Amino acid sequence: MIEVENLSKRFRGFAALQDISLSIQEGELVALLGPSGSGKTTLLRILAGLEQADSGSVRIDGADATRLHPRDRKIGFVFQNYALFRHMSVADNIGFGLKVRKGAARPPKAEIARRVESLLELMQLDGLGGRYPSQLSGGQRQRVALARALAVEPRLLLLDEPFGALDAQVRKELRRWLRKLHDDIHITGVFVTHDQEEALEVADRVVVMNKGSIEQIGTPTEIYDHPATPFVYRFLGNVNAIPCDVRAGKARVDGLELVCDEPNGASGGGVVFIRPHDVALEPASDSGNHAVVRHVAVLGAGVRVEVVLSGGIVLDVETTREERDRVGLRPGRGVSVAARKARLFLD
Amino acid sequence: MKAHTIGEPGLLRWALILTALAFLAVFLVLPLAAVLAEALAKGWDRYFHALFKHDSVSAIWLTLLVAAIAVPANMVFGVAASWAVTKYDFPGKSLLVTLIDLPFSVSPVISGLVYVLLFGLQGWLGPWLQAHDLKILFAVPGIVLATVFVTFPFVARELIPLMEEQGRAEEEAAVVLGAGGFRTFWSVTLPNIKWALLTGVLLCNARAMGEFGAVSVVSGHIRGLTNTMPLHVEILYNEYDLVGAFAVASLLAFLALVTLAAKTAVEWWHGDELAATRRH
Amino acid sequence: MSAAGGVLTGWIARRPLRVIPGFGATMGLTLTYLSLIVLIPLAALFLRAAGMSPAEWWAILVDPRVLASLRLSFGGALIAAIVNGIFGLLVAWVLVRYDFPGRKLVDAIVDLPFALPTAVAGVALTALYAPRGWIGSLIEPLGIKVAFTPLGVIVAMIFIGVPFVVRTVEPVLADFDAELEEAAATLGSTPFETFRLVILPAVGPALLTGISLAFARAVGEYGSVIFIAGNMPGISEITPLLIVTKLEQYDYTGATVLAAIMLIISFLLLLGINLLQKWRRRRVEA
Repeated sequence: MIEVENLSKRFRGFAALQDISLSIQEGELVALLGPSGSGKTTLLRILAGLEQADSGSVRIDGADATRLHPRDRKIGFVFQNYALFRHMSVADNIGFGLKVRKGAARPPKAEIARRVESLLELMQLDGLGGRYPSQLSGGQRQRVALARALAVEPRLLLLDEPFGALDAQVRKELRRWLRKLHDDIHITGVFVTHDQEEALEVADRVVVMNKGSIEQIGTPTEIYDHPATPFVYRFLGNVNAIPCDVRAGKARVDGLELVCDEPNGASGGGVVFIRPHDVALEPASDSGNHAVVRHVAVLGAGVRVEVVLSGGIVLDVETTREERDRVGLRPGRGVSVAARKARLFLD
Repeated sequence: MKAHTIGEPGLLRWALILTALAFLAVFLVLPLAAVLAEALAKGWDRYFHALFKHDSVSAIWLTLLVAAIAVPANMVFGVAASWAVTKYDFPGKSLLVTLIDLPFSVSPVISGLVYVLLFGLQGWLGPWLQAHDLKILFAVPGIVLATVFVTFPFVARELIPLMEEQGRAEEEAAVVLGAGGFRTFWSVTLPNIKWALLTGVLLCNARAMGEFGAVSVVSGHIRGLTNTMPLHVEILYNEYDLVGAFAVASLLAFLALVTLAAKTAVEWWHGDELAATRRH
Repeated sequence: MSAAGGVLTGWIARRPLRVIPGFGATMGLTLTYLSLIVLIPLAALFLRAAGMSPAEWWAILVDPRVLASLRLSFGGALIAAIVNGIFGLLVAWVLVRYDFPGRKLVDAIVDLPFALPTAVAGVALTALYAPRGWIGSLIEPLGIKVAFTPLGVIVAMIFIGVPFVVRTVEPVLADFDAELEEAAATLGSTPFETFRLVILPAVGPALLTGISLAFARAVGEYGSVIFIAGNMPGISEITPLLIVTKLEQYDYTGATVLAAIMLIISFLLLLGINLLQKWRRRRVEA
C-alpha cells in the first residue's frame, strides 16, 4: 500500500535519512523503532507530507504521493503531544475534519454528531464530548486525538510516539487497546516509538532504525530471535556483548569457548552476543567453563545472576527461582557456564 | 510567587520594599497626581470649560480618527506578519523581525522626519504632490502615516513570541484534517492568540493616541485642524493656559490608566494565554 | 539545453512545499506594508544623507551646538539608564521575591511610562520639578535645580526607562531556581554573598539588556524631555530637538545628517542588544 524508495533527507548538514526504502502492506500495523536521532519521526512526517524529502519517492496505493499535500493524502495523523485544539470541546475536535469539508462532501450536522458519538463510544470517552482538552487526563487526550484522526475515515493512520507522554501503567493499557482497535477496524497504521517493548507487543512488523538508516525489518519474533546487526541485538532486550578472538570458526573468550555459526572458518576480532536467558548454569564440574557467582537478585518472578568468568568478564544471566534453587546459586559459588545460543559479529 | 524561606532578614526586606516603593512613588505616581492637581487647580468648572472648547474638541476628534485608522491597519499587518514569521521557515527571517521592530527603536522625531523628507516641499514627492494639489504633510494624511509608522510593531511584538511558543502542531493537525488557510487561522489560531492580540491592540492604541514627537514634526500645528490631543497640550502649555493644557492631559492620562487596567486584567485572568515573557 | 532544463525543473520541483497555507498572502502583505511604511521612507533618509559630501558631514558634526546636544542626549541617557538599572533591579527584586499589600497594584503601575503619552509626562514632570512644584519647592532651598537644566533631562529619561529594566529582569528573577540559593546557603554563604556571587551573575545579561533598551529609548526621547529641559542651545538642548529646529529652519541637510547619525548608533545598539540576547541564551542553555 505504501512504497518508499530511496528516501533521503538532510537537515542543516546532518543526514536525517539515508537512502531509505521499505514497503507497507494494506492492513498492517508497522512500528518504526529506534533511538532519538534515528530518523523515525522524520520518516513518518515525510509519509504524512508534513516534511519533504530531498530525494526519493513515496507511493501510496500505487500513485506518486511525493509532492502531494497532506490534506490530499487521506491520512490520519496523531501528533506526539496530541495537538488537540485547546479552545474546542472534545466533540468539536473530533468533528473538525468533517466540518471543514466543502460542498457536497460535507455531511449534515446530524450526521456529524452521530459519527462523533459513535467514535466517543469506540474510544471509551462516553459522555466527555462537552469537555475541553485541559480537563482530560493524558490517556483521554490521546484517545481524543485518535478519534479525531479516525473521524475522516483515512486510508492510513500515522502516530508519532503515541504513548510517549503517559505513565507506565496507562501506556500498557493503551498499547493493548491500540492493538485491539487495529484488529477490529483493520486500518493500515504506522507508529513511531523508541520503546522496544511497545514495538514488539503491538506491531505486525518492526522497522529498526539507527542514524538515518534501516537496520532490520521483520516481525517481532524475527528481529528478537534473529537480529541482523549488533545494533539490533543491543537495542532489543538485554544482551551480553563480549569482545573476543576468532580462530577457525571458534570464538575464544577468556574462560568460555564457543562454537559459532560462521561457516567459513574466519579469523580475527569480533563481538559475541549472548542473551541473558540463553546462558545455562550448572553446578561446577571439571569439564566445562568455570565461573564464580558474584551477585544474585530476585526480580519478581525471575532471578538475575551475575557470574564472573575466569578471565574477569562478567555475564548477566536471567533464570528462574527453580533453577536458582536447583543449582544452588549464591554469591561466591562456583558454577559451570555454557551458552545455549550465541551469535558472533566480526569487526 | 515562590516562597523564599531563606535569604534576607525581615528588616532588610522591608527596607528594600520601602526604597523601591519610594522610587516608584517619586518617579511614577507623583507626575500622575500632578496632572490631576494642575487640571483641577481652578476648580471643576474651569476644567470642563477647557475640555469643551472648540479647539480641544477638534483635537479629540482628530486623535480618535487617527487611532481609528492606524490601529486596525497595524492590527491586520501585525497578524499577517506574525503568521508569516512563526508558521514558516525561510531565509532572512531574523532580518525581517529586526525590520519589523525598527520603528520601536527609532526616535519619534526621526519617524516624522522621514516623512518630511519624502513628502515635504524639498522632498522626493514634494513637487509632484504640489502639482496635484495633494497635501500630506501639515494635513491629516501625514499625521496618520507618522502614527502608523510609530505604532507599527506593537501588535506583532505581542503575537510573535506567543505564536512561537504555541508552535505549529495545531495548525498542522487542522491542515491534515482538510482545513484551508483561512479556516485554520479562524478556528484554530485566533482563539489561541485572542488575548495577546487584545493586549497588542490596547498598547498600539495607547501609543497611537499619545504619540507626540513624530506627529509634531509632520503636523504644522494648525489649531483646530491638524492638532492631536498631545500637540494641543503643548500649544496650551506654551501659552501658559495651564488649566487647559492639564485638562486635556488629564484625558490622555485617563486613557493611559484605562489601558493599563485593561492590560493588567488580561494578564491576571488570561496570563496562561500570553507569552511567557509577559507573565508576571 | 536539456541539462539546464532538467536542473531548472528539478529546482522548481524541489521548491519547499509549505504545509500550512497562506505563505504567499501573508508574506506579500507583510513585505508590501513594511516597504511602504518603513523601508521607503527610511531609504529617502539614507539616500539624502549619503548624497552629501564627507566635508558637509564633518562640518555638521563638529558644530559645537551639535556636539553639545549629542553629549547631552547620549550622556544623559547613559546616566538615566544606569540609575534605572540599579533601581529597576531593586523594584524587580521586591516584586518577585517579596509579598506585601498592594504588590499587584505596584506591579501594574510599573508599565505607566509605557502607556502614558510622552507630552503628558513632559508637562507633568515640569509641573512637579519647577520651582513652585511639589518637589521643586522642596529641593530648591537646597540649591538643587532640576527643571530647565540638564538634570531635568535626566529625570525625564529615568521616568521613561523604568519599565524596560524591570520587565526584562522580572522573568529571569522569577525563573531563578530557589534551590541554587539553598545550595549556596548550605555551603556557608551569607545572603549578600549569595546575591553577589550566585544571583547577580545569573541576572546580569538580562539586566544589561534592560539597561541597553532603556538607554536606546532615552536617547531618542522627545516629548517627555522638551518641556522640562529648558532647551538652551549648548546647555540643555537634546539632539531630537535640534533636528526639529533645523527642520523648522528648512535646514533639511543638517537635520538629515543628525538623524542619520542617531539612526546608525541606534542600529548598532539594536544589533548589540540582539547579540547580547543570543549570548544570554547560549550561556543559559550550555
